[in-house]
Amino acid sequence: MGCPKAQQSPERLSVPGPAPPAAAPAVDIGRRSGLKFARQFVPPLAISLRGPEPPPGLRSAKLEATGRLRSFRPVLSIGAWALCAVVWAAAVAAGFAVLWRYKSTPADQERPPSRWPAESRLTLSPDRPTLLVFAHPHCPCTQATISEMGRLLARIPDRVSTYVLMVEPPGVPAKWADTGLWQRAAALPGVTLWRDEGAREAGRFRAQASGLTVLYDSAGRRLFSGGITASRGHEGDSFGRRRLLALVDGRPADRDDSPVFGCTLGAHGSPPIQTEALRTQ
Amino acid sequence: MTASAGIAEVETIVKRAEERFQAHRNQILRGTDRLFAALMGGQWIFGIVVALAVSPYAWEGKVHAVHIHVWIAVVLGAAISSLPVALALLRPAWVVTRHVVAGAQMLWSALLIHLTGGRIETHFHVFGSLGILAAYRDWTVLLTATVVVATDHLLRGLVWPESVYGILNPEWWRFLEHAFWVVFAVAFLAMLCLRSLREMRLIAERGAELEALSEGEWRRSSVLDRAKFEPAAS
Repeated sequence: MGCPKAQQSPERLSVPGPAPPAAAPAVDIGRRSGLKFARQFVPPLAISLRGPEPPPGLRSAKLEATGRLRSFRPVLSIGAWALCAVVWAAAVAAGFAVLWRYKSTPADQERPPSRWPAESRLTLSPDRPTLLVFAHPHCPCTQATISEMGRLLARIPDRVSTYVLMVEPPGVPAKWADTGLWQRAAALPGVTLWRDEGAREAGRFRAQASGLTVLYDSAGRRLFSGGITASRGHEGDSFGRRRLLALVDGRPADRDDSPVFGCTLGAHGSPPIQTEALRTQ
Repeated sequence: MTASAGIAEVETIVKRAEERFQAHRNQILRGTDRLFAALMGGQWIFGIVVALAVSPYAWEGKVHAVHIHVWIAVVLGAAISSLPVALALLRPAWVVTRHVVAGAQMLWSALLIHLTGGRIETHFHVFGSLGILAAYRDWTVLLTATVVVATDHLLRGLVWPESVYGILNPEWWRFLEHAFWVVFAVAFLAMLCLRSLREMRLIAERGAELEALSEGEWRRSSVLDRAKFEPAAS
């Protein structure tokens, strides 16, 4: 009686020897950590036992299941996958290029008046600089400007008189400006929130893009104008904010402007009068 | 039992241990590939939801149109997820699959950061992703992820520095400052991957040894049983 199947299979531990050896032989078959432990099993395994093939159930089903690497059937060749990878990389790079271009393209915005407009209904502070922020109530990009305003005001509390103007283009329905951006702006400390009906103040200050920030000194001279975000709708440090901070601190700035990233206000050239002060903190 | 038979037994155990180790590793790689295939799909849906919630429309006065972020989330998100999902489903456990997954996961971090307007909180996605990638127990995957992050910073730092650092003329070491925390996380995750592999190998060796023992015991008992019953039969 024999067990030829067992002798052919490398997985099975068929033990054909006649008698147990006195000691396990020294075997050098690699630097595996279990080698020392494996050697200890040579004597007991070396007992001469001629018997039938162990049933498959002796090994646990799990071991049988994981004992062999499941061979996969390649659907595509390596070359086809390489081609897919090239196309994929090109598509992803193109997508990010479109995104970066969009985010880094500033809005059209001319410089606001160099002197505080006499016809403005806003109050120029006589003892400290006045900061104006023009916002489109629905502009998602301006969320970042409001976040940056929060950080800015935390660094210069009470050192500027701040207005956030929610610009309503002519002909919009009532409560058109009551948005989440309005609520966020209202929560900023030390800020006067204005509903700029008909975009009149925006017209006086030549505000064309949401996110425009303008700083005037107490004499009504324009100190700075531009955006305070690094790109469209993107929070984080920006040189606009740095310049603004430097000018508020009385330090020199390399420039007095920066690009503005935001939606078009649709306000330019609006007729004057009738703005309503909604809240003063 | 001769010495050569003993050597053969040890070799069989070691070979079996290697098979068990590879099978276990294969199982982990396949499972992690499936996990990332699901995650890629989930991130795509999440990206679209974020775009719709944060920036649904771009406005010009009182006129609005679908914001480019929504299109980017749909199209670019699908593009980013496509190859890793295809590889994970069609070529699981392939070395290329997990490296593509690692690169795509870092690209998802970049996209989500853009879609959420650069919120600081979204930057945690990078570190969360590195932790999940460690499930492959392959430290080279973490290296690929780090290279993708570094390349993104390097390219944007050269072409559009303000988008990375917020200023136009960052100091040369700003790149290192950004990379340091990623390298910090990757270094320890890589150590854990190597330790995990060592433990897997040990488990495989012990399993092979136990398997050999149980087979030996079975043979011994079957011979004894036969010896007991054969005389009675004769």
